Amino acid sequence: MSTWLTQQATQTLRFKTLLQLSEALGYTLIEPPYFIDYDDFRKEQPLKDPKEWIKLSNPEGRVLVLRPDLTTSVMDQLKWKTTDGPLKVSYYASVFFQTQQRLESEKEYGFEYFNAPFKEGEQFMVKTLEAFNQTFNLKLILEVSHTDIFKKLIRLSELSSEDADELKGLFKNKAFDQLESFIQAKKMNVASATLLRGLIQPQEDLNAYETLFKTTGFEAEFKPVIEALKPFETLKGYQVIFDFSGMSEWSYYQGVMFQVFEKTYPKPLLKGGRYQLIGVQGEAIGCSLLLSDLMAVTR
Amino acid sequence: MKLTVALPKGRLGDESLNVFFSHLEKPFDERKLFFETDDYKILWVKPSDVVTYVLSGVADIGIVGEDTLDENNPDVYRLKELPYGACQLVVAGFEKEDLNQPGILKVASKYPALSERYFKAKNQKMELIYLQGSVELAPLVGLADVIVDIVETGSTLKANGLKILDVIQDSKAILIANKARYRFQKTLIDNLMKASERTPHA
Repeated sequence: MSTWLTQQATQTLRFKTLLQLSEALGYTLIEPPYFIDYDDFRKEQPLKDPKEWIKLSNPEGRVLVLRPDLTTSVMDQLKWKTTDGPLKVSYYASVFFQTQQRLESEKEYGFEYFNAPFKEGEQFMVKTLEAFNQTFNLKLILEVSHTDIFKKLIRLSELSSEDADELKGLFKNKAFDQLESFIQAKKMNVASATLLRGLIQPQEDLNAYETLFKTTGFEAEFKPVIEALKPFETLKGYQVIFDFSGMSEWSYYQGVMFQVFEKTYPKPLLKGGRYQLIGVQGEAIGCSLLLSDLMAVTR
Repeated sequence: MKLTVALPKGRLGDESLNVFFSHLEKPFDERKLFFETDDYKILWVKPSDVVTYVLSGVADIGIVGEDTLDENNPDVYRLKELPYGACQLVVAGFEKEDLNQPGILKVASKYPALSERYFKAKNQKMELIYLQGSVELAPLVGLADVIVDIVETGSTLKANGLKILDVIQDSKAILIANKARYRFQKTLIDNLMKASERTPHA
């Protein structure tokens, strides 16, 4: 069989395995819309580079964008519906982006749990991740973070927006040495400095952070964050790392964020988290992966 | 699992080998492109390729100039600033050259993004001429008015009658890591960083 045919056959097999896995967990497969409103998408994703997006205009002059991201596209479809209770959907579709030469696409598979109550959603995502690893039997690391950590850190440290951007860069780059220089230059008080030094370090359980919050007097402030992260602490089949320097390029995450890494692969295999978009009723938690990544690690 | 390290060929790589791997027996066959010990695999690569090796995950970590990182802004961890490899990114040219002129300044450089950012901040219109090497030649033969390049001692500029007209930024050597590989190799990377702190620097 040709390489191309083998790849197509493998892709179909992986899709079917993911579909069986999601159906067993109670997810329903839906088809996300191809086009969404450009202005809405721009508002929802101010950090992304629109140069990679494919834009089209309809006869009335409305500008649409050919889905560069599936979660935003799924949310755009579902925000017109009223759902009384939780809704679990999965999807398998292409995302599109423009390169210098041509229009490119990638197949993505996702799991979304809409109107997911706090904690119950997190617990169900843990169940989904466990089922994923039971199915593919890989050596995985789950890295978990929370968007509120950094927001609270900035507020408690009383940093200007300029200093906050600098600190964000240091956390993102894990620039341990430069963090020390930053602490000295900003003449930070002992509690804030201790908090920064502690939060830049990844940990394998939450006890170290709980002790850190207790000793710096910020226990109550960070309690909701710890509560949201707890369900991930006992995730079976993964090595779990809590790392608050992880930042997402997608701005819709609000709450828990996570990434899954496979031992032999140089980039995240799966990404997800809790999010909320403008105009959507309730919150959601979900995750997605590119089929090309899954095929590479299960080769 | 071994830790794979991409080191830049040349002085920066040699200094890195002394600082991080002083305990290793060095290979003396310079034609060898990599060598291995029980714990490490060291790759000798072109300085501008270090980031490519680290980004692809072929190398877990690498050592690279801050100027290269700022120019390309790759999605890697910048774990440690190293106490060697210091240099400056400068604008250089003939002494008479004016960096604030009404016309378009022709700038030769292998740092297009940093050059454009610098001249944009100065509101100076520029035309970039991208070169990959011997950038100093450009003003001498009329290809460009000025150059933007890395300067360590300034001796090449001086030998060619050129002067530093402005310093854009200081640059140091930085230890970088692939973000995914860092999770799996954290212990070995942490140990290596600690060991380097115990090595007396030249």
